[in-house]
Amino acid sequence: MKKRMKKIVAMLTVTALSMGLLAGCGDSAATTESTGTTETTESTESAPAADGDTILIAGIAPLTGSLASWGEGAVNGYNLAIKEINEAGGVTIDGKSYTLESAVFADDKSDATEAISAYNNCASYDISAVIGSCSSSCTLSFVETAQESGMLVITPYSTNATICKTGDYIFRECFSDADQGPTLAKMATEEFGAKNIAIVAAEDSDYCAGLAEAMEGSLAEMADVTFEHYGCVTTDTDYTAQISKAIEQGAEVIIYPNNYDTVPNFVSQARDAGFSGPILGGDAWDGTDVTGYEAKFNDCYYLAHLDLSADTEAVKNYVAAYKAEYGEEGLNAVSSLYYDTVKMLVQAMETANSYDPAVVKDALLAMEYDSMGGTVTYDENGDAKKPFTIETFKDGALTYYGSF
Amino acid sequence: MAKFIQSLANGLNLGSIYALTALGYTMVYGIIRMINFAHGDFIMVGGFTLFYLIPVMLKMGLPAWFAVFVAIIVCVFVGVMTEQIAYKPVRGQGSTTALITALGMSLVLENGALVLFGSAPRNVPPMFNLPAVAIGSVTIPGTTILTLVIGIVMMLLLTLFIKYTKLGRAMRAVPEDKIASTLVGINVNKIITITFAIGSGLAAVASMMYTTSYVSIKNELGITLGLKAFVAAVLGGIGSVPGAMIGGLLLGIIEIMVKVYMLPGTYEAVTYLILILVLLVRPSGLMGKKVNEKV
Repeated sequence: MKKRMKKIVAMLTVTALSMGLLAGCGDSAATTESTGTTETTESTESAPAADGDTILIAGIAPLTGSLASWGEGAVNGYNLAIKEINEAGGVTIDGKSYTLESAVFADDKSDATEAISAYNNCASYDISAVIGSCSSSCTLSFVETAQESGMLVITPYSTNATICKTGDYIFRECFSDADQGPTLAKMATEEFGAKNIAIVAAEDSDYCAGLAEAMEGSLAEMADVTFEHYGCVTTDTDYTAQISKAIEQGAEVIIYPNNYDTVPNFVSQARDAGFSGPILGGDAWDGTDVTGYEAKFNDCYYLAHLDLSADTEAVKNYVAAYKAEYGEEGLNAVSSLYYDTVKMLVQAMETANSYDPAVVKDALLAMEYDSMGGTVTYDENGDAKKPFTIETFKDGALTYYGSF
Repeated sequence: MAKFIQSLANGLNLGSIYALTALGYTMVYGIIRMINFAHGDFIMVGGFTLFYLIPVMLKMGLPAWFAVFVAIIVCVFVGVMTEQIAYKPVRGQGSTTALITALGMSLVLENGALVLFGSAPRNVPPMFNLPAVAIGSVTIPGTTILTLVIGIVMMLLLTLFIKYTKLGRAMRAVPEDKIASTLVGINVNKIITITFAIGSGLAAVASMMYTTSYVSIKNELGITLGLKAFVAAVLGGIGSVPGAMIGGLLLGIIEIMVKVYMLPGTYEAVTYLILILVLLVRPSGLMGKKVNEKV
């Protein structure tokens, strides 16, 4: 009998460990497929190749996994931009017009390891640039390889401060956390007058941890502002411990700079615990589902790349074109960023009069691009500067609050 | 002090969800000596049933939580089908085969849900509108109390059922000696099916309480929850109904306390270290039977 018990215990241990491994890889474990990439190009008949008349590009986004809402919009925005460019006569270089074509749109499942194979898949084509990815952890996983092989990468949505420092081939079409952190800090202290702030940030994400660090850096410099940082992990569902500590500390504002998929859990638990003050978030709140919890989301604000209800020609045209092509699904800020990134790349190619990455990168550095969220420029380090928009929820409806 | 009491309440809330889930593990293990790793995924199935049915219930003018009855039916169906299709054919092939089959079933359910429902997180609409109870500076959400009460009621009902009903007696007899049970007229296959039905029904109740506290669900919800509940069941002594309850509550409280007083970001390392220590001292779990079966 004793032997049998031992056997059972040993087996339990092995299973528990293997389950731990499964849980550890999170998204990827549940959806492991052979290649890790999904082709969603319109023209899949024959493998696309760059010839005399076409310029190839490739995209990466999380099409499945916990951040799939981003990918859904991303691929649509990307394809919409390509379609519009070709309808308007393609890319004009040296008086000759080229058709812009997508070689592949790869799925990184918001997993850093998957992102590397997604990148390798893209790089196996004769492409001029890679547009991607969303999560900073994913983008960081392949930018070094890209830099070494002279591949132009423009990320539409990864804000981690270190990405563009990798090298001169790496760009972004969004602001950097080096700017977002201080802006969030300013928002909390100036806009909402908070002197006591709690930060709850995931420690296992390059984006969340980097943003929190940048924020704390500028909060620490402010006189008579106290703040506390409580960690969590991206797979957490229970935040009651962090929230009760924030309340105990007397926080007037809680900053939760984590990804959108965990925001409903956090906000609803904070409100249940009796926290009625403002809850602020970073740009990764984009895509947050508030259905059923509209009242709890009042007095929640986040920094966004643009306001999709803005009354400007560019945004209205984009929203109309998107809806005509794909309907309401996936119409979020990420979709517009992928759209803008493709258009910015084309502008850079036309300015440079070349689609050679080595030439295009210099043109990007020098240019100004009018995106839907404001003008994008590059500083001497090749990092983007872009204005901030503040979005809030009014009884569940995403509403423009202000700009920074 | 207020901080401690508040954390205790938070821990009890998390713990009673673990406990409700662990009850399902322990039920099945207690009767057929098999770890049903797909149990966490039954909860995911229940969660998605609630997500789709609560709006229907509200449209029909019924209270939202009525959806749980449908969720119970759906979960029982999925549980019994899992048992009939996957587990029954390999019964008698040894515990390793059963374990691997259960792991496989878990992945089948997760990826099946990915195909059916997509991978975007969904918000389950609120089912209860309970006022929070404030004691001094401590705020206890109404749902915490409800979850705890439901957990204790479920545990008591199960204990009474297993102890005093004919079916319950049969359930206890089967693990003792399968052949002898058959000789005295117990339909072993039927008992096992009923056990799975009860376990899966419990999963539906657990999914109701889970989605009340953690509103956002996705297809991978079962992985971590199932793992934690399994640990809770082992901690309490797997096979023991009160043990699952105590193990679950304890695990919840430990997790929250570690988060509050030690490391909020890396709480899992500390939590599981404590668990390993407990198991080193008491290998059969807190309420586990000392091995006194016939050899």
